Amino acid sequence: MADTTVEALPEDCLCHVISFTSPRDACRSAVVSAAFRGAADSDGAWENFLPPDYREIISRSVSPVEFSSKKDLFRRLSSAPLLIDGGKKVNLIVGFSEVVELRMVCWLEIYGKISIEMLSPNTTYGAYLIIQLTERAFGLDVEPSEVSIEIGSYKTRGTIYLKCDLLKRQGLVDTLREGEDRVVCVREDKWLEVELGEFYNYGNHKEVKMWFREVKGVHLKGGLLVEGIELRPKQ
Amino acid sequence: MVTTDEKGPLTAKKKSVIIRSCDGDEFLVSESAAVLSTSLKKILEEKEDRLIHLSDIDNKTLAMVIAYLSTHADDGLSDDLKRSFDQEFVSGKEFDVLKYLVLATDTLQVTCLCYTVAKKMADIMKNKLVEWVRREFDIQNDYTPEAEAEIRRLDAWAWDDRQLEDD
Repeated sequence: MADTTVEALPEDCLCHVISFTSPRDACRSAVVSAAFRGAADSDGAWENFLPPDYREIISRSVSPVEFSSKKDLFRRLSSAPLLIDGGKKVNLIVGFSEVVELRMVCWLEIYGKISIEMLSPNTTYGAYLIIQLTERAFGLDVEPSEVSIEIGSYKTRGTIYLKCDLLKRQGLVDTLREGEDRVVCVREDKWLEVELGEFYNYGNHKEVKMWFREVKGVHLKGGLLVEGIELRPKQ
Repeated sequence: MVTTDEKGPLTAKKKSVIIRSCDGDEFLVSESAAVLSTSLKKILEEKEDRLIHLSDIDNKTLAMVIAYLSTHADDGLSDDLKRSFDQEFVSGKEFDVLKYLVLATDTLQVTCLCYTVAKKMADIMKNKLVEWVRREFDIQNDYTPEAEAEIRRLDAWAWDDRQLEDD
């Protein structure tokens, strides 16, 4: 027994271990040795990194999703947003005409810009992302999301956690967590409002750019309904 | 030597099984605990005598698995207590010990413990250098430098600026 190494473990056993790590760790594990790679690339390990309902999601894709293994599928789903149900867009601009559901992405980035002419001069504005989390929301609260605003050389940055479980269960605002300086509010219409930042409109710039992104964790995330970005004058 | 597990006297009236490790130590275990292992259950269904010899599990590892089985077979313990026992069970254990445990629980088909141990190993493995994994798992790198470079290239995103650990 003393000379037993884990490489002598049955592959499915090693799969268990790797399936509890992360996509990143699993990819690096493939480099350990050729034998280790068998487990690190296996469907058994990668099944865990895919969302539980991935079969249903890919069945609704605009174009057929073909893949040779679960790892390959993960790569495909991670490299580009999936267009479903007739191809709803994921790159958003302020005030789009319909609600967009983000089903599943790896890098989440919502970007909006608006011409400054549409705003009142000499006024402080707040920019808010209007969202809802669906029942199946996942992966959104693993890493903090970044929010930022840019107008000319003026820039603001902030971070926020979208707490899937808490928001789903309570539909309420949660207390601030460490490293988080923006707040999620529940509106009267039950949509959630994430403050992206604020800025003063001196009227001397052309446009305002706004971001909401979570690109640090490369895990898959989804279940975010996005209505749009709202700009309101602040008191 | 017969080592009774801690529930020995209480379960004396119940049927017991003797399990022998590969290094010859024998453990007296209640049958209700033993059958939580799918493999042991099958063996007990097929044979008359109550002695099971496990040729590939050492005494230290076997003692740990039996402590787990006995705790989970104890109807007097609440599920919460069993869960906290599980957490306690893997916390602070060396990676090397966990390797033998995961191997034993896989052989004995103790699914829940196998998952708990695998999860713990995964937590330790996260964000570790490839060299760390090779060392801890005692694995020889059998790639040619070209083959290794090719695999690294396939998933270049897995090697980002994140600091990887080597201990």
